[in-house]
Amino acid sequence: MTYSVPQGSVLWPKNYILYTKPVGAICKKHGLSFHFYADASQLYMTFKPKILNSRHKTLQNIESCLIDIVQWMKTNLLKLNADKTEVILFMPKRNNNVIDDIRITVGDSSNQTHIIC
Amino acid sequence: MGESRKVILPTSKSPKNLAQSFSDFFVDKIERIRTDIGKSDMSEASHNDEFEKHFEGEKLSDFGSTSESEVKTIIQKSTNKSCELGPIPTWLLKNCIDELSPILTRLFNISLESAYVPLGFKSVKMRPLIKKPGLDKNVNKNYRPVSNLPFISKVLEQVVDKRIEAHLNSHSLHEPQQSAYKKFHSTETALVRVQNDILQALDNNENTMLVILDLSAAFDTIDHQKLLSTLENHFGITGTPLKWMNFERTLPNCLY
Repeated sequence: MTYSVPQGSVLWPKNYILYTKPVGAICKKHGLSFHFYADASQLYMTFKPKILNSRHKTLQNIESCLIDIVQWMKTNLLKLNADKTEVILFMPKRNNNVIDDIRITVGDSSNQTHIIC
Repeated sequence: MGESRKVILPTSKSPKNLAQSFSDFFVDKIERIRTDIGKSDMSEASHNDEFEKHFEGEKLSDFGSTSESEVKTIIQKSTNKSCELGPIPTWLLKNCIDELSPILTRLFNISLESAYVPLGFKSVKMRPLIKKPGLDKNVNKNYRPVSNLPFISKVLEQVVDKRIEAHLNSHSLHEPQQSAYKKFHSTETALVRVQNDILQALDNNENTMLVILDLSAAFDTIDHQKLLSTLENHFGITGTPLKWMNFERTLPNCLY
C-alpha cells in the first residue's frame, strides 16, 4: 500500500488537514469565506442583492474558485464528487423576488442550487 | 456509554470469505478512485505553487526525547479502550504504570531517535463499520473501514503528535478556519461559525451562497510521497522526524 491514512490513528488524520491546507489559500484568493472540519468543506460568499449583477458575479467567483480547487485536487490525487457537491443560496424572505434557475458548474457536472429563504 | 454495541456484518459462509470480500472491496474502491483521478500531472505543479507557502524558519529536525512523566500522563489521560492486538488490556497497563513506564519510555526514545517503528506497533486491525444504522447490511458499499491500532502505538503517536503540534503552533502553521483535531474546536464550532456568518448577512439584507464539497474517500486517496514532501517543504518537518513519519516504515500493516 502506498497511499491511505488509517482512521483509527491519532496522527494520520491530522496529516490530511496539513495536506489540504492550500484549499484554504485558493478560497482566499477568490475572496470566498470558508470553514473546514477535516474533509467536510464549506465555502461561502456574501453579496448585496441590490447591486446589479451581484448574484451573477458571486456565482462566477465561486465557479472559478471551484475550477482551481478541482485542479489542485487533481494534481494532489484527491477526488471531488462533483454530483454530490451542494450549493445553497440563503436570502431573507422579503426579497425573494423572481429567482430564475441558478446552476453552478462543478467539474463536469452542473448542479442545481437549493434556495432557502 | 459502556454498553457493547451490536456488531453488524453481512451474512457470509465463513469469516474468511467475509474478510476477503471486504478486503477486495476496500482495496478496489481506492484503486478505482485513483484510476479516475488519473496520473497526477507534474506540469501543473507550478500552477499550484502560489497556494503553497514554502516553509521558512527553524525546521523540526529532532523530536527530542520523551520522559517517564510524559508517558505516564498520556497513558493516565487515555480512555480504557483497548485493541485485541494489544498484549495487555489498557486498565492493567494503567495499574502497572510505575513498573512499565520506564520500559515504554526507553522503547519510545529508541523509536524517536532511530526513526524506526517496530512491526508490532504497526499492526492494525481493520474493522468494517456500517456507515449508518438501517442500511442494507449485505452491501459492502455501506461500510467504511476503520482501523484499530494497538494502545501502545497510540501512546507513541501522541508523543510524536505533541512535538509536531508544538512545532506547528510556534510557526502558526495551522489553518485558522479548520475545526478538526484542534483544542476548543469541534463540529459544533464549525457549524456555529458558518451559521453566524449567514445569519449576520441576512440581517444586513445580504444573501449568501454556500457550497458544500464532497470528497471521495478523502482520507484514503492521499499519496504518501506527496504528503511527505508537503510536510518537509511547507511545514518544515525534516530529518529524523520526517523519516519517522515516512509511511513506508510507519504505515501500519493491515490485518483484515
